Amino acid sequence: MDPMIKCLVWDLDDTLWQGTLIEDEAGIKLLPGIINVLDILDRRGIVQSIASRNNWEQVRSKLEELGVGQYFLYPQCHFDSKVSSMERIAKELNIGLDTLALIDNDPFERFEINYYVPQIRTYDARQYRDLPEFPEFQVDHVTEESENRRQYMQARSRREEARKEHKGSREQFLKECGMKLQIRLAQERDYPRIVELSHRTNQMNSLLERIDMAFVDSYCKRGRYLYVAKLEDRFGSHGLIGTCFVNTDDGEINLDLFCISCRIEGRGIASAFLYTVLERLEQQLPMSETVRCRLVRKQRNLPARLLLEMLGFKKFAADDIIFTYILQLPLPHKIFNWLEIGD
Amino acid sequence: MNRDEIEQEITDIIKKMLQLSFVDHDTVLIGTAGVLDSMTLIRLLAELEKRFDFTMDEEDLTLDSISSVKHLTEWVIQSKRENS
Repeated sequence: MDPMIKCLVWDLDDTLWQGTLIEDEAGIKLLPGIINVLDILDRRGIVQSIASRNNWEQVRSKLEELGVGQYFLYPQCHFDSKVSSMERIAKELNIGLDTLALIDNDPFERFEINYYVPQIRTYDARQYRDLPEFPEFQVDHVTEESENRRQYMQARSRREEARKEHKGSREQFLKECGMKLQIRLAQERDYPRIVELSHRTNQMNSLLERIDMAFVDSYCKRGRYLYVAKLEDRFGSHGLIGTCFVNTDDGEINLDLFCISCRIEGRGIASAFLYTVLERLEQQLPMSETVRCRLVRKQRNLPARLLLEMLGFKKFAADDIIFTYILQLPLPHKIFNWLEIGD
Repeated sequence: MNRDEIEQEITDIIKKMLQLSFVDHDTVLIGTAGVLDSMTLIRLLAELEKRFDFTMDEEDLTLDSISSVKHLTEWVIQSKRENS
């Protein structure tokens, strides 16, 4: 199955609006029903952006005037190729090219994208009303995180700006971000977001596994725990950014699955989350001697593998599909003094 | 490109990527005192592949091989050799 679309990129002239901005600024009108499409996708947590050969200042004031400026993140308005625009958007959002789509009225532009980056899906502008119905634009549950995804992304972009301006040490900078990581057992209201995380994560998904509500619902039996992490910082809330399934039924600690959003990369959050979960389980189960974690052997989740190694896990066994990692307890001592961890 | 030049270049890339003012060949990248997390590390490796024109063999990749600037330099040289 093709991965779901995480970001839809709009062309402007005769795609988002009728007419050509540079030729007839006053005559520009949004296509009928387009605000509805923008809104539906936005609520589903699908990020939207722009790739257009127009002048950004002119585009910005027109988008404001039409009342749709707030929908778009990292708009690319310049005269470079759309291939490079799409690549920049994927990089800014930290998502794979195979989760990116372009809607454009010009068959040449679509062909160019298909030719150079076939992973990107392209749509004819005439299809705009039907997009929300397509399977690749479906999400199982609209969660708080998906509805607010654009705001989270905007907070992320403000943080990136602050980072560029900051001159002190990395640790000092992270401290000043005022990060608070809440780690606790999942409650039922978290389940839809847990399912969504398993579908949206690749790099930090230990088994690259997509789970459903039924699985989550039935997971927490004797000796099994489902943890979640929520993050906020001075730039805003990031919502629920990680989940971890732990099975202790045999007396040892088994990390069945972990999925962590990479929207929050670069701040050591993933290791703080897993480490804290293990620390709590170690106190709860003082007799256990090891932590095990199975990891599917794919290049896509290399960050997940490195994360385990950073936590002190050692590769214990490997077959063609799965690596088994083991960490001998007690846990090595680690401190995360650049963020506040609570429960 | 000789070893020192590669090391200098890697140092510059890390500085730029993490906005650090001081990085030398003994700077520890990973671990308690480390400056990188696993996601950033992936970005760094991708950047090095592009800059030094090689493809990493991720099966060979261990944390030790990339734990400091010194080790990272050796890893790049080794990987380039295996690629050619």
